[in-house]
Amino acid sequence: MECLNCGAPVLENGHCSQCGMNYKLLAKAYNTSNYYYNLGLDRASVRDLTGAIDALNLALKYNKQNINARNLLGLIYYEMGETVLGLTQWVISSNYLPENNMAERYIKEVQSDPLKLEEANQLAKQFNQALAHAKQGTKDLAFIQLKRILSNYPHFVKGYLLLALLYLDNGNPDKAKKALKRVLRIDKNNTLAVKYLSEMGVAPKDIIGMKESSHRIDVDSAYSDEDQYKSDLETFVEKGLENIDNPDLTVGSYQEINHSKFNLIYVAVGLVLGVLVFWLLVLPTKLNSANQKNRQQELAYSEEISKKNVTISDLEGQVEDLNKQIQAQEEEKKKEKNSQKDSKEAFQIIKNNIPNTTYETLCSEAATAISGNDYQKAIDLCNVALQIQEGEEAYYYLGKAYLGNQDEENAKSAFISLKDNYPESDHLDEIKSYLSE
Amino acid sequence: MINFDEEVRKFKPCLEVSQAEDAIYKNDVKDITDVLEEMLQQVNGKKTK
Repeated sequence: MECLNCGAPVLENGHCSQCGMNYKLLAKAYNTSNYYYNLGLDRASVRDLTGAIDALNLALKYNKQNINARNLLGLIYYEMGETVLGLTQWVISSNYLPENNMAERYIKEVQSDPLKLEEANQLAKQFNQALAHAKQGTKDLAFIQLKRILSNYPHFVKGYLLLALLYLDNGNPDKAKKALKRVLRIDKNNTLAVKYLSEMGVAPKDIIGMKESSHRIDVDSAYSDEDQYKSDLETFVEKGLENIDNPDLTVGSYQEINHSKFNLIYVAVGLVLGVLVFWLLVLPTKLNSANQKNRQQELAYSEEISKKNVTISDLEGQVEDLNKQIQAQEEEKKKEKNSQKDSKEAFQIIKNNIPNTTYETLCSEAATAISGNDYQKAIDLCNVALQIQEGEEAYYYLGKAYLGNQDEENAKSAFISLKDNYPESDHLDEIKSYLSE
Repeated sequence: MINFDEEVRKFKPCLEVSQAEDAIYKNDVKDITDVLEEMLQQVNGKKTK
């Protein structure tokens, strides 16, 4: 014998050689698990889904690795609209037995269609929202949300139960009954549905009758039944509250669903309204703003132009001033030139009219200075005399003064000038010796 | 008579896809084998002491 837990051989004392488990106890547990699985299967086959869930959960408590029980549990959750719960069970199952497991096929089937998974997720989110609305007291919103959910997912038991509860709270036991009947069609022994019905005063006989009607659904006719069921549901969802006595509370939500039929008209009207709003409200404001911008730009440009005009006129004024200044300066220059000419002429006249006595005086003073050994004074006097008038006396005394001052070069040039200008001068004999040197 | 608030409180939110991973990891249901293993460990622990 092999241990049911670890597969090691079982000893004669009935305990596993490896894990030490009592074989009998384990076998009993596994048998019990299989028993509950069989019970769950039976219940599931007659659509007693709640009973099946209870039995399968017990089966898993005896043996959590009971693959069949776990797979069936996932399938039942899936059937009741709880796709994520179903997936959870299948994933755990495939983890215990990765090969030859039906759970793998179920998972692949769900995962192969991403839309299906997304729809399941949306269903869960929308139901949670509806539940939150119901808890917060915004029951109208919960109604709308639940009707939307149930029109897309007619197997969602939880949704019907909540809807029935809302109807009961709303004082509509007939609508609640209809919703609960749907629950019993899916899940024959749903405890909550039975509880609500009995609380509503429905006789046990009628409840059993409802269960019987659900018992008639077989696998072969499931598809057509589903269609009928779906159409019934749509009628239920769309027209359920039309005949209601108190229209204030719930008629509004049904009208909203009826309005959905006219979606295209709404879209067209919305588009027309949008265009009109754009034409009448948005466009004029945009035009105004564009005009204002243009005006502002015009103002800015005109300001700039006026500023530039002012600067141009200033610059023109400056040019005129400068031209005037240039003219004035030219006139002044002309005047200066004229005055210079005049002064030169006057100097020439003065120079010509200066009496020779001045020259002679300067020469005699130069001779006196030489005799007094004041050669520099003599040089200055002779230069002045030469500027007034060239003469042999002036050159002679200049040369002598340079000699006295021991400046032989200048003395020689003065004597040469004397010789060149006055070749018949009486002083030539005296200066010959210097010239020959 | 059914009390709406009480009954609504009993409803639990549906599992979303993003919560599936957590649900799988937290699904740590003990079965008979786990209970027996715990008992054996306790018995073995006492013996070694």
